[in-house]
Amino acid sequence: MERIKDFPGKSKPISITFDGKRIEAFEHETVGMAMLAEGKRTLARSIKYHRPRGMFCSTGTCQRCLVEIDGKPNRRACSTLVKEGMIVRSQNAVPNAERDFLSILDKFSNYLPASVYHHHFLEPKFLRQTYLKILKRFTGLGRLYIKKRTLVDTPSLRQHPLKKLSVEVTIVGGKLTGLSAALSAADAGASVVILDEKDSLNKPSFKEVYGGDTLDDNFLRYRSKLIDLETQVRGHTKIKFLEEAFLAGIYEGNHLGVFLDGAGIADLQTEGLILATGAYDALPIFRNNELPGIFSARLVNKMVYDYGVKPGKRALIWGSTKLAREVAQALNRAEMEIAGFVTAASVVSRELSLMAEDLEVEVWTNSCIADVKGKKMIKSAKIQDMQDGRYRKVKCDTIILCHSQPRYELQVQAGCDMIFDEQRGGLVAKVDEILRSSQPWVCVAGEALGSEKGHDLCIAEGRLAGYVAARDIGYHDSTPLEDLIREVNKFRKQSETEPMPTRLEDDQGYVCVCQDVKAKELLYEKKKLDKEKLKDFHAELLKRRTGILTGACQGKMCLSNLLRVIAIKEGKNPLQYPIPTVRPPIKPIRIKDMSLGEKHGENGV
Amino acid sequence: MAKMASDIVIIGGGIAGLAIATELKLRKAGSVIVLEKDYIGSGNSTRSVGRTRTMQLTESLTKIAIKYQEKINKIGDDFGFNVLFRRGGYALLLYDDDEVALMRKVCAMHNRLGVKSELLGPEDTLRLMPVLREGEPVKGALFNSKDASIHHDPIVWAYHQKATELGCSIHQGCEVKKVFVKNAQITGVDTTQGSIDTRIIVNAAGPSSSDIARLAGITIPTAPLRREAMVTMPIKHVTDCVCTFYRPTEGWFNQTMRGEFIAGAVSAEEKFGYNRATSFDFPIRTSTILMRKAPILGDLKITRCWAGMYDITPDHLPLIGQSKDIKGFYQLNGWSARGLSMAPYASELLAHEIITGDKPDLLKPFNPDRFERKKRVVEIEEDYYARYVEDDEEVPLMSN
Repeated sequence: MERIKDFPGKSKPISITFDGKRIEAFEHETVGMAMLAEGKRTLARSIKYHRPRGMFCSTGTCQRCLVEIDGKPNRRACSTLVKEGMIVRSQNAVPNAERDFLSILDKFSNYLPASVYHHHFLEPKFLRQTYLKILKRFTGLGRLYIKKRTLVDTPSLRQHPLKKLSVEVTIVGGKLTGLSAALSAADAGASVVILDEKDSLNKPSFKEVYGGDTLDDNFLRYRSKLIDLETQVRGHTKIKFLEEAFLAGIYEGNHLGVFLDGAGIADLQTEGLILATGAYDALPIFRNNELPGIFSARLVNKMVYDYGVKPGKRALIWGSTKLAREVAQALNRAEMEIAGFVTAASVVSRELSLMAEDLEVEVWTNSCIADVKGKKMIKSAKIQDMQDGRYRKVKCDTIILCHSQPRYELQVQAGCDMIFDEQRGGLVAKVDEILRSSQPWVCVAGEALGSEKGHDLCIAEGRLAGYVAARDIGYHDSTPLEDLIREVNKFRKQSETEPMPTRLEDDQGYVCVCQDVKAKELLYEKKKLDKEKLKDFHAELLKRRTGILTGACQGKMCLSNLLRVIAIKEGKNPLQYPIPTVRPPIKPIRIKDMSLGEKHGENGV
Repeated sequence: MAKMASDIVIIGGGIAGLAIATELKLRKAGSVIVLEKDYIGSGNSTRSVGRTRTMQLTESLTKIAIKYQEKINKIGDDFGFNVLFRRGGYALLLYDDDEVALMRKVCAMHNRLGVKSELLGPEDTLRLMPVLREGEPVKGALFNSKDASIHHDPIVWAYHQKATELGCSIHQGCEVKKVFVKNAQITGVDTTQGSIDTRIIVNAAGPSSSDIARLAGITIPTAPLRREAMVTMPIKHVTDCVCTFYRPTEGWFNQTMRGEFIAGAVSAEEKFGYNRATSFDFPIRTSTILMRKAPILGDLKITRCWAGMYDITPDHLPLIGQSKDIKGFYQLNGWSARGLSMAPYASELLAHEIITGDKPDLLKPFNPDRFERKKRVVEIEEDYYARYVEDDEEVPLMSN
């Protein structure tokens, strides 16, 4: 791994330390990127088996890159910008993430069931409190440093009043779908607020400059459409475009909890809500599926185009859809070798076949990755042909996953009826022809509804959702609804989904990466539940038994996989059992940011 | 389900229902059916935050608390489930001199009854709870090193398994529709899965218990009240002690076995009623208080908020025993925040009462009909958490 030589976006060099070692970085780089550029993929160790953890998604979904930064625990390396002299430390490792003595626990992972505590450590009786004292030393991730100072004066508090806002239509997401929904609703006469959680790093993308001729028309069309829509939205008097607003959750009484640019909190009430939140990464289950060096396509795109960092030397791409093609383009531009494409689909698109021919790489259809070998660095991947069961070993040092799932959290919190649809990437709201969910005030549109979608389809869905939301609160546009529906149907074909096989023959793959829960442990719990005559094998019980869904990612990376395992094992629709509540906030928020008063002082914000 | 008959029907498949079922079966009380509306523990048992203390603020509660804590600690021996009974100590944090003076009296009462509470000064409190440094100056704490935190789920599973083993028939997804009463005697119950003939019903439905009593044609003075909690990302252990701010609206916090901090603070405006939604005010309110009291925790990230229901009685003491008006209708509810730790032991005593007809002395303060005898409302000043008031709306708020 190294920095790309001819990358245009260079900035001022600075240095930080990681576990006491000096790391050269550039301003405008995140801690995680600087580490990757330095070849350090392992940033932390996992909570139970002390397996290596590093960057996977870069969007704050996976929460695997948690490090200690300047004495503050559990900071995301992927979203913290470097500063001169910054002190970064790896977490949950003795002595450090690179060489962790406790990784010996991983060797015993097959003998330590997930629910180990519920029947163990009881005998002999007089040692019970001691057991707990020892066990508690192994729990927890970061460290909280408490200075040896005693009584000080009452801290002075700065009050942020809680803003109460009310609006007619709220749109979550400010890309193609969200922007076109906003325009459509506002044109009908509704007052609209767009909440867009922009990459708060303010990092320009060098994709157009660096990508140059290698980019396809598709991307250029996307850019020009996005810029066009943004200009229209900014010029519209009925639309308020909040670019750094994060919707933390949908709370009691349909109150939306909004964080405005980190500076204030707003309690927003809305008559109509359009969820155009898009999709994020999903993680297929296979052996060693969580090793550092297995990156999501979204992260690789950022590495190459935004930061000029080469992900590795030779990459294997699991995927065949738009994301896979984009990432292949990026790797090609960064002059990285591509080991091939793997996909569980039986046929691939013409674009991909052409691209593979062009790059002279193979496409293995009907296949999936079964295992990844390598300790500190990935050495090879084992690919299984799912038809004849034969294995093939492919040398590579990087694996790129191109699976997506809809952002379902807000949909569940809004109270929408959910369905589990593999064609759409997993758990997603059930909507009718006009994109309205079972909650009449909520519409869902774009990739938040599943699949990777073309631009025209996103725009068409956005316009339809905006129209419906405005109409429902009494604003009528002259365009007939039928036209908008026809438009959506016309572009319906512009959607692709990367199939996500769940093979449980090898149950060593991780379902929950935050709490280290393997497929094996879920199946072990099933056996135990059967034995205890608690027959219903459903997500809520498994959550309580194994700790799955309660980790730092709050279930984003594991809920869909958990439902898949249940579906396979029970042979039934997993949603016939209740799914665990998706609790707010949808992303971890610091207590200090959630409070209305902040402490002044040396460490105050 | 065809028409059935059972000696005893228990309504509610949470900790109380499963515990009384187990205790009755252990005493060979005949056939027992448990009816659960959803699935086992789905109500509010599994929404508990798992704290247990002997340091109660009234004498009657303290006496029974000593016993119920022993009982919880014995679940490991009796059922083979590790409930993570961790004696990290429990502290009531005090922030002014009046509170300290009040707690000195309570501490004397505890010591008289054999609970080894102690009143800590500011320095000792900070040594024990270093996260309070840099916060609002603490005046002291009423502390008991033997009080503990527990894990609620294994307690429910343990009783579920035991009850099943002993031959209780547990119906999940079975909601009670009607309770039949003839000549002031329970005669049966009608459910979504059919009707059951019985002469004894135990109402262990927690926050829904007043609805069940209404089905039988009586009113009991319990009302559901929401309590919310939030949990942060795990960090390495910094404090073992379970903390509650003595002022009722300031809430509580502690670090769990997994290293997460859990915390909560109640709102004075909370209305009675069944509601398990998470409010947006809650995390803001709790975070604001924590930033004032323990600003060191400010850097921890909140990952989840959830809500559960308490069933509150006017005097914040449970209702345990047979109703005066209906023979065979037993109450085992109104826990007022103590259900998880108190239900197992209270069930043991109630099982004794059901079988023999003798009311154990320890249960006498919790007689369900006690409110009728009271002509005038008495206020117990020493206790924010347990006092008699006339109007439900004026019930003082409590934190755990």
